[in-house]
Amino acid sequence: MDENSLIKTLSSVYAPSGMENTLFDVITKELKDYVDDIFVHEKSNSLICYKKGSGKFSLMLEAHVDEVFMVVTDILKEGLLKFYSNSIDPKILPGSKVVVHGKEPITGVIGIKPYHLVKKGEENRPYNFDNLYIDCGLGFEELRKIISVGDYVTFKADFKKIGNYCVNKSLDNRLGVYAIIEILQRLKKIMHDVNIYGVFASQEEFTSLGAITSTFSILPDLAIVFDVTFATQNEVSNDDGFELGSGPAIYVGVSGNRDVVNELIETATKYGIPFNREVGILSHTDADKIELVRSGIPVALVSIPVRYMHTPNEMFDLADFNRTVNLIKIFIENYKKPGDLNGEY
Amino acid sequence: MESIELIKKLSNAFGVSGSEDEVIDIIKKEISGFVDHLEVDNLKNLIALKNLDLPKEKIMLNAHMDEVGLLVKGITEKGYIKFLKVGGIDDRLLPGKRVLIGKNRVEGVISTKPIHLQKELERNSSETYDRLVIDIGAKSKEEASKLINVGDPIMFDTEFEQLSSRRYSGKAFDDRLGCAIITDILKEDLKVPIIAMFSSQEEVGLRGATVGAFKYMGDISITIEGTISADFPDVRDSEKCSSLGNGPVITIKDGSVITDHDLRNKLVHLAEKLKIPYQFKQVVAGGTDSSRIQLTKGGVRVLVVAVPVRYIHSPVSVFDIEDYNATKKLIIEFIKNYFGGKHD
Repeated sequence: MDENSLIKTLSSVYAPSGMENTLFDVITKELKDYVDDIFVHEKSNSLICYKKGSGKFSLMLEAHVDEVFMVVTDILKEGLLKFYSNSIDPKILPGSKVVVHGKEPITGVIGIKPYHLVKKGEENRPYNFDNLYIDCGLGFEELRKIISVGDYVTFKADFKKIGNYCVNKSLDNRLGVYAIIEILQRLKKIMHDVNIYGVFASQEEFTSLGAITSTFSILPDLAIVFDVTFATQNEVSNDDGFELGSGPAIYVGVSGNRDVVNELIETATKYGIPFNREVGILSHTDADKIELVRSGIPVALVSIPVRYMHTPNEMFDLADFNRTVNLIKIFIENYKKPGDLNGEY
Repeated sequence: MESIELIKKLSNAFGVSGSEDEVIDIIKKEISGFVDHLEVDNLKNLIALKNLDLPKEKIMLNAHMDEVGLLVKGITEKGYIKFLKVGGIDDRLLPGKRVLIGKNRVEGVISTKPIHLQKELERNSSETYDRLVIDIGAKSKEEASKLINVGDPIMFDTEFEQLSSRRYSGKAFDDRLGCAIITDILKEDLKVPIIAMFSSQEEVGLRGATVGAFKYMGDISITIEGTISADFPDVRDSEKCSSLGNGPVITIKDGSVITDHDLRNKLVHLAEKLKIPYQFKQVVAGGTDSSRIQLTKGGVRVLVVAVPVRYIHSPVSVFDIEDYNATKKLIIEFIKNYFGGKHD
């Protein structure tokens, strides 16, 4: 499945919040022949690329590149690591493999005591970060040489096609990254008015540092944010998620600019691209933050549904991805806005 | 390191209780040429005989081939798989794990509800297995039914992997390590009558060994296991059962058997003499095939020796190759010293 090879690469690289530059070479290699400029936004560790259009209007396509992570909090004399995360459910960790990013990356396993020793009543008590450990097969002294407190821990990558879908860690938000790359590549031979900034932003899973600061630096007239949203699955109904394969979810909430949202919806409707409306107050993505930069940026959010979010098994349907790319590509092709609203570049 | 290649093959093999066929094939291929006779009985016990014509006491070496896993119970309208547990698996291990289903190894993931959507109560409680499903990426019941059948066995999808110079991670070390040790021993040129029994269905009530020990009976039996090592910080010293790196684990008594005092004392004496490290199993829990073998016909004197394994019954068990080598050495020396004509 050739079409999947780039998303496999993108989602297999380890880029926890603050360590996003591990992905920059991959993205740069993909885009260097398709954009006019590509550079690292040093202050936030984000990557920005620029593709000139024929007009003055500027559009920012944004996706965060970072992934959820854990950190080492202690090295125990027994040769085990204590660790913690704010964004990962500890209940999914027993029996998992992780990568500890010390002086060199090493594999660790998170085991629990065997079923034989579980006492009555104990089996319903969920595991949490207080009683889970990472075992790297190394002793205390050996660990100390490679690992220090504060080192990142990530899920171990294992991209697979499972049935109709694909799974791996960190499809949140390498799907968004992939979408921007794909759109810029497809725009190569197409005339477009708008000047396009592609922003691969850092630290969404923490403070949205990359989104906020790069938006300030760029000052776009309009921004479209790519992220993932919940898909229907076991214990997630239509109330909270969207069917895999039913197209991108366009966010319709209090945050986000309704004019832009309506234009996206019109485009999707006109070209027969299936989509969903995702309703919320705030979206809890970079879009909320981008909207508040300088004197306010018009922003819309397009999300690809993903099952089992924030686990090593995030699952998506390639059809949803393709429709997202199509929608925004068509939107850009047709976008003709007179004048320059903010107009720094 | 020949043993490691064999252990890797055995650990990665599909052998949930009742579906031990892949393990049987691997062991058969390894030992044919080193034994005089091979047979698989009605319960899928693999039995190998060597030197039975020698007029000496016969020794039965045994290890179970099966591993814990899951079983397809049904398919939902949406194409998800409901399942049962085969053997003792902690429900808390299941969410978010990858699995392989049936002979065709259809890939699936066990469901997890995103942490963002969990209510306070859900965050602080654990899911039982009957609330979970396996997602094989099918869009409907019809589509899923083409790939799998109700009743298909399911195993953890994990790969044998070296963690450090001595330690390895994988599944089914309980008891493929025992299978590997016996396979290694059969390749040694020991002039002793050996009945090797690779048993089935141990994890669901010691069922294979109950009949497997009947046809060819040993005068003594050594059960070789991968056993519990709970040597973690939050387990009390007295409950750790055994510790990784401290050598073979010798059972005095577990939940199912009291091993033969005289034989065990000889084994311990030998370990001391040869300076092979050893440890006694601390917790009187778990059961082994030895308890069924002991009851065969007029009775058999039994021993249980095991390689300590952390996180057994999980996809990421860990063992130490030094423990494996020491266990193998102790058993070989024991056979040589007490059954090879070299009595001391």
